Amino acid sequence: MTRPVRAGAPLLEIRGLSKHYGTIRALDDVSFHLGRDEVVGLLGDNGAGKSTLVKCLAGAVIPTAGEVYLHGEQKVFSTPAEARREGIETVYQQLALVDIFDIAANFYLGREMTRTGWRGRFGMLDRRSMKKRARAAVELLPARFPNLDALIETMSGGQRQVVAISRAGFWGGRLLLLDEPTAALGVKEAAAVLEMIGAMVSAAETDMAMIVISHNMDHVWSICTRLLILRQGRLVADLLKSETSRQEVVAHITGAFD
Amino acid sequence: MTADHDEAGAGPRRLRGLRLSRIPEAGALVVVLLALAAFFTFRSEYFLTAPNLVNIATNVAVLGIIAAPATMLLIAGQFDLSVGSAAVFVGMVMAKTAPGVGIWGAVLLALAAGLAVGLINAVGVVMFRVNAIITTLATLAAFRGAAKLVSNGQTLILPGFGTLGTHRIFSVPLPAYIFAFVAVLSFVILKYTVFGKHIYAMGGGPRAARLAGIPVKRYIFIAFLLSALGTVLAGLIIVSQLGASSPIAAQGLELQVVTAVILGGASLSGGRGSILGTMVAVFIIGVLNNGLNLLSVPSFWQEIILGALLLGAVAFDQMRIRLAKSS
Repeated sequence: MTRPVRAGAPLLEIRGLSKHYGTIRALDDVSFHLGRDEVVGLLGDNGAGKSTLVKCLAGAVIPTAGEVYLHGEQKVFSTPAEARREGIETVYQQLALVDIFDIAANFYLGREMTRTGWRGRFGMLDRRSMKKRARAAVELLPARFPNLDALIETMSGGQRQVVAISRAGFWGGRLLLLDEPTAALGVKEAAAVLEMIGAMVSAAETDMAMIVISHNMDHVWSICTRLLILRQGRLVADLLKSETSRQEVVAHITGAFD
Repeated sequence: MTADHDEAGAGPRRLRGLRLSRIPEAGALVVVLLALAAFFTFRSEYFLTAPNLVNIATNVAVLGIIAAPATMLLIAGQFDLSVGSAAVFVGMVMAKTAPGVGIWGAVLLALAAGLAVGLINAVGVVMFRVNAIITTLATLAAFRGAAKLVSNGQTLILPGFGTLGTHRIFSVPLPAYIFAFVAVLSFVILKYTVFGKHIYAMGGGPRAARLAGIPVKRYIFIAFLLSALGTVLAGLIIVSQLGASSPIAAQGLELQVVTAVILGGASLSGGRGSILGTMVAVFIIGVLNNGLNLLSVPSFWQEIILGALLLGAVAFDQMRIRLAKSS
């Protein structure tokens, strides 16, 4: 399994990742790798370890054992900020947006641009540049916002999710982690979000991969090319969508092959 | 497609979007202020005179200097009720130590005393995770007691420290200038800096702020220390104006501060508020007190009116929160 570090190393590789809480093995010796342009669905029952795995990659949880490699280089994240610096962007299940801000302010939340010169030294915001860049980025998206200055609190759940995902894409993440991107949405809204995810991946010029956590097989099936299935903290299946069937996936999730 | 986007982009820019929706709020306050001023002008010939207006500005200086950082705190979702007691404690330290260490030494000790209160508040809230209302209610009680302890319950006379509170430039006393300076500085910080933006983010979306890597704890710490700085200034001004430090001065100052901040549009749920709104509210309170004095209305009524104002402002805020949620 162990390979030497090389130029053509996969975008992401994890080896033997484990997370134990006392005697509970939330994540148990998980290894896989991920190439560019891959959209992988991470499936599993409640408590299978999906969230723990994503949190380890996002720097929100520190694994008990195991290694994470980006482009063949080993990385250790002890905070979400460190993971973000390496191009790992996470879209959380409960949206991490500030409701009273507009799109641009949310895009730049925690990474605000400051003005040049002495004003910048005093931490003065460069609102115009932030607005301009956010506007330009949003216009490239398939999603349309009638009013870019509208506050998040005036938007629907689907629009909010689109903003959250756009923000992750905006920062040019190499690896996007989406935790239940369609969980709280209606059918139509979920479809819009999925369409947008698909468009983002195919439009990405640089190498980019995505891990999508979901309970909803239909949603995962429509956008993913590959499926990882966790069960009781272990990776029980790693399947290409083209080589499997929904029945087989469901059987892995429920443990029919155990 | 491009045309669509241009339209979507140009429309809000022309209207300056819903951003205007924030102005009517402060606008309504200005209308209230002007109505009060008109009423008192009509009822008292002294109200609209230059000396009286200077009077009002001087009288609201202490309130305004504390209300500015208090606005930041409330926007970040925090509270500081200890301001009145802390101001008196600061004044007591000043008056008590000045005879021994001189005016400047005493100012430094007073500053240290005020910052110590702020530090205790910050540690309680940030490190021990005690609710800010409880933490600062505790320091409110403790430092009123500490002030009495320092002075043995007596009023301490402090001669030779009148400049800060009573010196006039163009016949306007110094505290009014200090108030103006604090207000402008707070306005700029809150509206135009990264720190200000993060203050709003912390109150409007605490989870989002934390996940975005905003150093929430450090900012709450700083905000409490800024509140303490305002308290130090206010405490020194009070001592200087009176020429003495009384252990029962500044009673209920925290109530006036909270009233001003909430009346000014800051929300109890955090994330909302502005220095501009708070400042207009400070003047509403100042004009009310001044006008009622001119009309010889007993001061008990002023307390009742202040209470009613606070209740009204909070009720209005709750209504707004419910409206925002239901929309």
